[in-house]
Amino acid sequence: MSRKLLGALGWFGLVALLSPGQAYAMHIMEGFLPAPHAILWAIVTLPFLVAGLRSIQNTVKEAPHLKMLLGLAGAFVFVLSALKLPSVTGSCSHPTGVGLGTILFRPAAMSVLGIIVLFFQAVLLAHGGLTTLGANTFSMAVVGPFVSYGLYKGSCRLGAPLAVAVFLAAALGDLATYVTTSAQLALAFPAQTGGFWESFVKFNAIFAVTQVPLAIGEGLLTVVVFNLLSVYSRGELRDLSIPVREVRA
Amino acid sequence: MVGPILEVVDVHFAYPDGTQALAGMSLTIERGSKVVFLGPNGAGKTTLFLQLNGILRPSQGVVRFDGNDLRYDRRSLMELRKNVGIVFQDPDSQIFSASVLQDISFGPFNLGMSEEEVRGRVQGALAAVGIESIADRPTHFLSLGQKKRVAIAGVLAMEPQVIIFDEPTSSLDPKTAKQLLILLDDISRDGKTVVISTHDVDIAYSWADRVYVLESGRVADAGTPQEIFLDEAMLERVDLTQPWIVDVWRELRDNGYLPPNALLPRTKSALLALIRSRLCHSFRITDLVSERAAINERG
Amino acid sequence: MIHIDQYAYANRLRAVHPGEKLAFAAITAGICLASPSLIGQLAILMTMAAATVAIVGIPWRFYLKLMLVPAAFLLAGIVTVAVSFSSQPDPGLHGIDLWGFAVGIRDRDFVVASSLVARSLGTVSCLYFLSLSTPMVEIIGVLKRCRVPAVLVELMTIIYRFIFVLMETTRQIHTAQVSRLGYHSLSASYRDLGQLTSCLFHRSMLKSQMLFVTLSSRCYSGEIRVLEPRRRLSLRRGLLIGGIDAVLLAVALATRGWQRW
Ligand SMILES: Nc1ncnc2c1ncn2[C@@H]1O[C@H](COP(=O)(O)OP(=O)(O)OP(=O)(O)O)[C@@H](O)[C@H]1O
Ligand SMILES: [Mg+2]
Repeated sequence: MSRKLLGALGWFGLVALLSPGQAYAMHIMEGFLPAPHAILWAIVTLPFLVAGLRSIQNTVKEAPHLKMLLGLAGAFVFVLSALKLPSVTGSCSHPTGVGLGTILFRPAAMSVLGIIVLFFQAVLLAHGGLTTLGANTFSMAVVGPFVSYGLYKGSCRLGAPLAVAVFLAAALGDLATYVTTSAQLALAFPAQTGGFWESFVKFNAIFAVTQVPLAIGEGLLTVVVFNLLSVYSRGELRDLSIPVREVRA
Repeated sequence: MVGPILEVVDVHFAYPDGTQALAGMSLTIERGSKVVFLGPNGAGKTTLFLQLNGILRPSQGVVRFDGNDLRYDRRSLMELRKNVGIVFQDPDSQIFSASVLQDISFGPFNLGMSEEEVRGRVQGALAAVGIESIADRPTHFLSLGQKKRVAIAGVLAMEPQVIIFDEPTSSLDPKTAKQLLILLDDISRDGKTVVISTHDVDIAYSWADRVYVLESGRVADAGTPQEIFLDEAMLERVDLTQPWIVDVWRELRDNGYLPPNALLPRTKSALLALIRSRLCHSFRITDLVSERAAINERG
Repeated sequence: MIHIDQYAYANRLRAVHPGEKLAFAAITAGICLASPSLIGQLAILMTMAAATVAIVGIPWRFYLKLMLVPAAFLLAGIVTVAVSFSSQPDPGLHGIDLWGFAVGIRDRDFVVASSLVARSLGTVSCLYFLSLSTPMVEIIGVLKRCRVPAVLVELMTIIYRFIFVLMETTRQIHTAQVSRLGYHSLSASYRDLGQLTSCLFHRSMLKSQMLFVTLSSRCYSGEIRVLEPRRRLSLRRGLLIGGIDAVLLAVALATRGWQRW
């Protein structure tokens, strides 16, 4: 069974490779989710958004400059996600900015920045969509950041080198985002015979072709960036209260 | 309505990283005057301006507005910033909205005005800087000169008594820079005190009522443009060149083309008029040429 | 990208109240999403495309190109939904035998996939109508009217503005790098892109400090209040929107049963 499954996966991979365009972070396109799913995901995301907004509102009261900082942070994440990652295969993919953004600005802020960035991506770039904003926010601005932050904090606490912690946070944050998206799609479109799980495997497999290299690429890039930041932007990192240690890429 | 509007008395200031940006600076800005600050990079011009507006606080010394020492509680700061506006060098770090209208309305709303009043102020400011026609365009599609005007309108709309411009003409093309200077003159004619910093000695010489030369956080020299730019030793010391008008005037005078007591002109047109008036006494080459042509014809 | 934004500021519906455009796009997208009928969705796609090209005045070539943006996702998505595989021979699976392994499409999945294409593109056409006809500043203004929390609105305002500032910065840094032979190999590319990113971060943080200073000098004290442009609502256009959407809804309902081939 598993060998045959692999054969099928290879076939899907071929389709994905042949599909035109560039590999963006995986956002579900406009209109792809049925209405009940779209609404459900919006509702699921709402508490995280509210919590994020609350935390921002509280901090802004004491530090009014935080509004400008978060504004620039959001613009930074947006522009980051429009950069092109160098890749071996020649296909071109874009980072999500989830890992770096989360480590720099915390998951709570990322849920708010994430939904704004996704909104702008939908309207200005036609990536993702407004009806799927809830679902995409959940995978990219809730699950991704929490996984990133958990891994980052966890591996720092376990004494892993900072480079490893940063790589894991960025790469696995991306992977978590895309696995979540696959799950959302599988829930909306379960297979006739194999149900959710068959569909989940299919979606994971087809998107793995672009998303796994993207995750690795983004992990590497984030380590390089963090290394530079800890040398040249110590002041800023300290203001954002991030431990400044030398990183080895 | 004369007398000092802003006074800086022996102000010292160091940035958190230890850079001593102001080291005992003292100066006075007269109400309604046009003041230019000159000085090399890092002399402390921007830092001084931030003191005048209460963004930074002296570690020693005082700043006075209208004869009163600045106080740094929220209320007093609001009152000060209402009266002393700054147009920063880089409009991209001053304009916070993609909408021209929104950006200009920000200041007036902070002064607690009603929406109707704000609309009036915004319209007035748009007209004053001459950008009504681009009010509908997003700021990211504007040219640098247009963005500077938006930034100026944002401050004008608050109707401050003093407007400070940090390097208003930097990186503008000559024509745009000239238009901007005309705008500054208009603002000054409205009775406002206008303060600018610049690296352009020609602008400083022609435009200012009073010039301050700053160096390493201190006032190196102060005076009328004529006083400042005739002091060659001082200019040499702070690495400033002479304005071309002064250069030409001095050259003409020292070579006897102008009488030793000729007044130093302020503007290009005044200098040209002076030269023309001298030329009436000497004879012109064109006359010679036409005379020669007449002789040839006859011959 | 910037093209969408450019059209949003220079199109024939620029002076129309943003609420009308947003309502038209949102209601139509709602019908499309809830529509049980493929015909209904195609009707929406056609209507919105026609409205965007003929009324908003977007060149059709650009519009078609824009329609291809989600093609990669759509293709991968529908293939995944439509194609199944089975280790036993399966009469319900129309397809080929691959190494003794049935790969093909089931009837039901074909229906699901085709209506998925119609629904997605139909909704996309609604999104494009909005994004090509309405400047972001005005969309944000409508959100504000709809009582979206002030912090969110203020952040959106600042982020939208500085996206363009930082893109320009990025372009400058990138040019500077390339002109000094940056990005010439894979490892160099990572190093240079990392450099660009960290530089961009540094400048972003500087800009945020500067912005705080400049806004403070204009009496900022924690709240950002701004004017909204004045646009008049038009009853005539409102009725037109209602009429079009009523027709589209009727088409969707009338053709409900048609897709059982
Ligand atoms: N935010 C800051 N933190 C630390 N040091 C600073 C900061 N801003 C300015 N300085 C330093 O303070 C000194 C005075 O700087 P300032 O910007 O006031 O000079 P300036 O006369 O405006 O120069 P320029 O002509 O380059 O604008 C310089 O040495 C500068 O490096
Ligand atoms: Mg300066």
